[in-house]
Amino acid sequence: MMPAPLWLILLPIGTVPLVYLLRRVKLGAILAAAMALLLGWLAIQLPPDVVLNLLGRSIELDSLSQVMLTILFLATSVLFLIPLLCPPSTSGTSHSGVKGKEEKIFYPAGLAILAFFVAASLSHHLGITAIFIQAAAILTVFVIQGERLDSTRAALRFLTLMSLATPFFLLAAWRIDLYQLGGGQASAINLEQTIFFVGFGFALWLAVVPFHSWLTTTAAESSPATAAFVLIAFPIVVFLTLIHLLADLPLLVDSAQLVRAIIIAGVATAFIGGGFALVQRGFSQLMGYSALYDLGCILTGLGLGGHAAVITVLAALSVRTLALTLIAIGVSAVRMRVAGDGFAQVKGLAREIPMAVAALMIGGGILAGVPLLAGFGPRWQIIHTGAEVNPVLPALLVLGGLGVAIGYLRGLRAMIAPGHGPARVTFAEPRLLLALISLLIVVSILLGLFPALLIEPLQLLTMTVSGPIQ
Amino acid sequence: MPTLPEILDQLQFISQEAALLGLFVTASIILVGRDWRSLILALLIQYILVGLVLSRLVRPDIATLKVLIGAFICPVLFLSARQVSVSGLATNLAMKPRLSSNRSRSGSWWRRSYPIVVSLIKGQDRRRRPAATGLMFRVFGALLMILVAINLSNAIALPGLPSAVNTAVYWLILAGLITLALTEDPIKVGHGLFTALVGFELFYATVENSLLLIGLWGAINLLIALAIGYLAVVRGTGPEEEV
Repeated sequence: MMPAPLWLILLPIGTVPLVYLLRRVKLGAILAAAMALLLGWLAIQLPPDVVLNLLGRSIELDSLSQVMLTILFLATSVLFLIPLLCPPSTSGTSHSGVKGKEEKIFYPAGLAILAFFVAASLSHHLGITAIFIQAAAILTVFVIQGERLDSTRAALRFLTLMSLATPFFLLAAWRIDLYQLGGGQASAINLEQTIFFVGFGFALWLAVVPFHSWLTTTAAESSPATAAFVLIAFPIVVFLTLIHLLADLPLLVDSAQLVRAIIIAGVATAFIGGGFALVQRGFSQLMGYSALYDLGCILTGLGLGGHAAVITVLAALSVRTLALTLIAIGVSAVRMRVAGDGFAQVKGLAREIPMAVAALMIGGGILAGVPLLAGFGPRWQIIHTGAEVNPVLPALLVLGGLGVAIGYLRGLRAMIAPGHGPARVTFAEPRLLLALISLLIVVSILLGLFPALLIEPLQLLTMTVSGPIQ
Repeated sequence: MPTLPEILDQLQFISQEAALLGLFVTASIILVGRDWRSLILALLIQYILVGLVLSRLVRPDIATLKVLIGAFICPVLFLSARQVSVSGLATNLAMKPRLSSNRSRSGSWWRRSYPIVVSLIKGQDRRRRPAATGLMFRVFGALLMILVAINLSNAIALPGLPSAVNTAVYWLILAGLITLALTEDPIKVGHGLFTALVGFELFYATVENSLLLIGLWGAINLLIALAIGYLAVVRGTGPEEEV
């Protein structure tokens, strides 16, 4: 009998042809969203199980993978619906040339990418995982590009940086195999090389500054839903791989060099991401830099370690998903009204689409770590742990957060400013969109007021997972 | 007709040092050149030379596999670049004769063909090219990278590789990376990326014993070529983009 976790790969792959045929009608989006929802339910329901052994390593669904994949599937199901709920403005092309047709390939390709991510999550062999993530990255190129003809910059940078990361992981996997075949004996030079390969590879995958251009250009050039998908999905799978790797190889964690490098990379990324977020002139670009800031904070949290590190990372990834989904909805709604989302183009929109503006502000607030919103709990935990190590760390993280918050406040100021263009026709946000935004906003505020609502289920689900860095 | 392993066997008279010189030339063409035909030819020769070097270091079938992968990648890039080139040439030819139609009709065959011949030599360049990354800059970049590669191979020797192959690995990776840094044209980026990746493979194939991983990595290379081909066609059919 087929191992149960393989359904998580076969179901989306099996649905791809049907969704591809239906991609130009609403049913395609609905089918893709329903499949992602079903996968989310399945991922949490399936018992943890070993599928098979490959290259001496198990292919298995563990509780950490279950939680991470569930978050990914649920977010994707909502993102699949965004293009359906927010058809973009047809009054012209935006600054990035987004015309609204780019989502069609998103549904089938998105499902195939999810299947590759499941395969990557199940594998505990770094080389195999890297190959699957690379395959997902190649498919993502088509999602990022869509049917736009004006610029290939985002897709090209994404493909280039992801492709350059894979060789590092293959070399690291070769080193790890040698270490394990040698009975767990590693010379100092071998260890240094392994750390170098692993560190460089993850820096490329996690968009650590200065390798962040794939993330920020994707946010700026791709459509909001597909950009949010990339910004949510890749970090989730990469963090899962990193936690698996650190848990499987304690010798990496024993290296103060690697732990210090993770913390420094995280803080630098957060600080620079926040700094750049402050000076952006459009919501797409702002989404990219605020996501970069958030990624830096999560990486710092993992590097700081402690018994609650894994829960903190999981909670931070969950609220990041919520925030980016809200921002994607907000930007899509803005593009229903005007061709672009630059601050100069959105003047006066606060009166026309107040709920979308609220979604943008709350999403941004979550990423900035504003108190009373869902992002505050995990951020406070990271800042609190960081203060015990070095008081400069929390200061830099808070400064970065301020940059993000001010960036969104600048956007709000532009949206509430009176518009000076020709009067636009009266417009009402679609009811389904309003319901979705309201639901996500309520969840954001509830999780901000009662973080235990998120932390306790995560603790229950990942009881057996201990933090790799103590 | 000889098979690919037989051809590689017949080319054994080429020493590793000669292959290294060949790789210096091919990667320099990829770094400096602009015409897509010369780029693709250089990439194909690069794959053959790497296969030749590998045939002395690893099992011949793995070396052959690497050459085959290169032989599949190059046509993918060729077809994409050709489509872009033909559409670009058609656009140029449709625009220019209108401006000087009378002169063209009365001119000689050579005067009418001259722009086409020049475009074949220099390559199609419909984009605005920043002066900072002009021909001389790239030539100096290539020379600098050769020096860096030689120094690096002396300072950090890769395990199990002869000195010439060591230099070749560093040179290919550096030449590929600098090509990537200097361009945003998908075809050129593809060549830079594959140059860097072939440098990595020259080392990786000698240390990795798993055929599964080597095979999967080969498949990934083909998929990367398809994605780059797609982006090249998209960019070629779209409006001009500022670099």
